[in-house]
Amino acid sequence: MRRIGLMLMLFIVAVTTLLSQRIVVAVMQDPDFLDPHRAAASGTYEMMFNVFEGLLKPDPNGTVIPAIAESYSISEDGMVYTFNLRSGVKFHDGSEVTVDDVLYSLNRLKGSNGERGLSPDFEKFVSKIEAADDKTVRVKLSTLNTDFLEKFIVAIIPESNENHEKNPVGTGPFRFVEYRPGQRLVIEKFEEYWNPELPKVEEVEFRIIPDNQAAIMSFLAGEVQILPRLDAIQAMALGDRYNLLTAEQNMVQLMAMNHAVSPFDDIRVRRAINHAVDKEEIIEIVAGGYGTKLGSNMSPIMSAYYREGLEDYYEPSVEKAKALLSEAGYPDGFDTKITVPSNYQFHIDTAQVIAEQLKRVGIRAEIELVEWSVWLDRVYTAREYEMTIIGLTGKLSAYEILRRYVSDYPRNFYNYSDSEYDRIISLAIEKTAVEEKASMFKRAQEILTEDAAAVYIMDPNFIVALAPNLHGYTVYPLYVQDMSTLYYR
Amino acid sequence: MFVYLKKLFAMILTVLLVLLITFVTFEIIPGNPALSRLGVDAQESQYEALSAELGLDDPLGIRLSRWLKGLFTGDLGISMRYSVPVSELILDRLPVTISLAVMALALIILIGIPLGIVSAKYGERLPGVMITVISQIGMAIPSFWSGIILIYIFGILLRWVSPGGYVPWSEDAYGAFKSLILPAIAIALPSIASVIRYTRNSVMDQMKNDYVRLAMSKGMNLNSVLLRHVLKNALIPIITVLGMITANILGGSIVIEQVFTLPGVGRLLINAITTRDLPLVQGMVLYIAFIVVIINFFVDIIYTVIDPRIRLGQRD
Repeated sequence: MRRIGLMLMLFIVAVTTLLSQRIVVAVMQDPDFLDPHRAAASGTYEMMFNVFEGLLKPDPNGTVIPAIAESYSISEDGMVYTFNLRSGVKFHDGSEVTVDDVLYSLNRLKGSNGERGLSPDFEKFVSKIEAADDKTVRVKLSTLNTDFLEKFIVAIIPESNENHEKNPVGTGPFRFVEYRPGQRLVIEKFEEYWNPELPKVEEVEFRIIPDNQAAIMSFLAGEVQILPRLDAIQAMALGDRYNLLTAEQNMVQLMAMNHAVSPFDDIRVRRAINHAVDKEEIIEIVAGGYGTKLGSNMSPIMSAYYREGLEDYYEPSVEKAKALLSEAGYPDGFDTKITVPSNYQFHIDTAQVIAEQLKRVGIRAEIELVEWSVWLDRVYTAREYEMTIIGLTGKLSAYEILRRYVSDYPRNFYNYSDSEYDRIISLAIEKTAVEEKASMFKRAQEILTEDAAAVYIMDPNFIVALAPNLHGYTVYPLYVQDMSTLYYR
Repeated sequence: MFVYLKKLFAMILTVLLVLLITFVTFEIIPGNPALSRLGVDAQESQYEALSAELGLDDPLGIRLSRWLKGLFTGDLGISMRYSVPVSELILDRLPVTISLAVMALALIILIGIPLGIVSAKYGERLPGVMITVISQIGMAIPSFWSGIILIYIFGILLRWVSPGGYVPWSEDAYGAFKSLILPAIAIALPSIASVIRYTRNSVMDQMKNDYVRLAMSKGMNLNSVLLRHVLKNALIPIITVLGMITANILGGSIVIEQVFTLPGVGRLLINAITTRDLPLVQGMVLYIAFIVVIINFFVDIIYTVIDPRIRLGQRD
């Protein structure tokens, strides 16, 4: 009798989850802005990817595909982009997307009538946005940038909306329902989405759970159905009752060395450190094997631009490291500090392994944990640090990934400076031929490796845990959670 | 009355001082609200635009006077992290924290005081010793740990409650109760232990008094002496402790709210500090100060109810 009761209960639970068609996803942080043109944080894009769409949208292979635009073409000289709008695309408020909405959105990014644009890149590279007819938009560049196409994934929003921050309206598969700071962001199925097959579930809640342990507890209790971005140790602890997916996530985890601080201004010291660090050991210990070894600031997932073979440029060797250190005048090593943001256990663990590895060559590295706000201020902005470990989320554009090392880039926190590198990066985006562009970006990666600009560790694999009856998760080489393809079975 | 005015004045001065110290501290410590909000993916111009919008570029004097002006006009300002009014954020979190406080306090009073009396009654004999040992353990266990254990047993093994699934009372009262009962227990446990100790000591102190001996010699039995005469006199220090506990819970059970992912004021405070959201932190400081004042006031009133010899404002 009791067994029948139990089975009945399980049945009821199964039926109610099936009927509810609701997914709860645990996310770490609040969005920065709901207005898609003001939002900068990856954590925001991760959620709002489901609400907004651009003329183009990213696809799971790391390229862009038409979305609000049905097709596009680029002029021979790379200066003019022409987009033909898809007909029948509707905003969440029910109105149809018109060419004026597209012009409004792009002009908002570029800036017009003396007002500053919301996107520094549109401001810098776009000269003119015009409608050729009521279905065609032409964008003219002011400076050639052949890596600009990916920029058009930026959201198209209705001109009629008075407050994009309080009431975000887009054209994506889900419409925005509510956002409660520090608690949740809820979206629901948009019935009039231009692709009638999507989305498959009725409602998605992004629940903001900053504490990893609490998120895992909620998942185990069935309160949360998707746990994105687990590390290997947490994934193993969950056991095999759940669907676990792993994939490269186009992230570069690196240990930066401040080039403006002695002894890291000496290339021999930076090379010695590169020889001292054994990446395979880190991947094994910290990521449980779920990581892809890197040699430069590019993940292999960016297959078109990835320069292969750099990951073993500095083979792990205590002798070589010691020889280089002696040459640089540090036969007995030196004392240094690795500053790590305390909210990233993964980077803390990495720092601990690296500190041990550095000890073998005589470098005594103290690990300093700092709060994320402090890291952003002191390390990232003021550049007051010796070494630090961080993971930089991937972009679709190789240019956006690599420009962080350009001498005058305001967020070049490595203090890296190399005129040859600067020249190559600015030349690369002037190349219209794809192969030529790719070879320049590959050369840029080589320079970073040869200069030992940083220690490029790994692309930590993305491990996502799904409730047992949830299917259809799509992995992107971007920091996004695509909710439209998910369904219960 | 005059005593009260004096008290109120001292309180306002203290709060002002605390607010000023917070302001200065946020000036000194590293971290910047615009940076915290935008993270590593923002470009320089986005950061500059936000800084300007939040008024971070203005000189110290201007920011200080702007903030003081807001304070005196009763405007707590706009949160730098969330761009919504601070008062709205705090009010939104209050139901959770108040519910937690009420439930925890009920548990503390209903379990702590009776056990304390029983423990005092038996003194050094077995039941008394047992209660003392258990309450010692209760005090020694940190509440986050008992919280995790509770989640594991009732949330994951038995699935009676769902951790991290807070439901507002207005939506589903039973669901709300289910989501709050475990954290309330976790908060209550250490406090129950300390209430037991206070009750025990206080009751035992009273037992030494002459009126107890008189009542006993009149032939009253121990139980009725305890309940009719001793308890009332023993309550004063217990009320003081309960007041302190209440203020603590209402100020935000930071750890427990974190463990149970409850949207209470404690988590809001942590958020505010980690994102360097000065207006929100200031708002929270004011809120906590307000709670302490109110509770002290109520404690004073309860004193006069329990013991009419005490006049309002006489304490201190």
